[in-house]
Amino acid sequence: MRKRQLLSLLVVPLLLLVAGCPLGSDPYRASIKGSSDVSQAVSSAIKITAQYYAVGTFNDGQKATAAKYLTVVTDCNFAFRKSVTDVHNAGLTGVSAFLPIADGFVNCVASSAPVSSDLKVSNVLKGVDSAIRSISVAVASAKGAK
Amino acid sequence: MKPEVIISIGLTVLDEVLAMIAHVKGQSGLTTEDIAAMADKQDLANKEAIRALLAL
Repeated sequence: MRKRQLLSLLVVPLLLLVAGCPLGSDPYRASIKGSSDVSQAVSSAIKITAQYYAVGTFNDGQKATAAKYLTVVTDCNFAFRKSVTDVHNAGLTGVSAFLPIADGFVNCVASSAPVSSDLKVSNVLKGVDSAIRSISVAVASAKGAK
Repeated sequence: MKPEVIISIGLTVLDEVLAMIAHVKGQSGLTTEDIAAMADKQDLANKEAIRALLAL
């Protein structure tokens, strides 16, 4: 229970920060900022996973599952940022150009990442998942031609 | 769970919350290309950190 409360400390500020980001952003900037927030969330999840493993809260299997998920997210995030940059360089500026890419990021992770029914593991990865899903919201609410 | 373990995890989580706040605040004066470059570096660092995590 305490662990869940500690993790909510991580997830809630992340959601608030990410949700506050799109103000004043165009869809391109909102996408890149969202991607950067995911990178930061992955970094945090790695540190918390290492800490959990060090104190024995995670076993080898749980550590491996978290590591696999974070590897998939990092690869999908690279691909997402490249697609966003390509679309931007092609001269497209509207929300409709960037929203499918953000949705593609969610699908990329969903189709490749390990599915874990382990509550401890999913609690640690919740912040990363929230950051990924927040990109679509940020892009959809960004300023710019629809 | 022992109190010292809870405190230890709590401090790690607090560190990460502060890192996220610093991360978002740090983006405000940057161009979009700067933020993209920052994310590229962070992803590379994350890859290394995941490799280190698996080696524990």
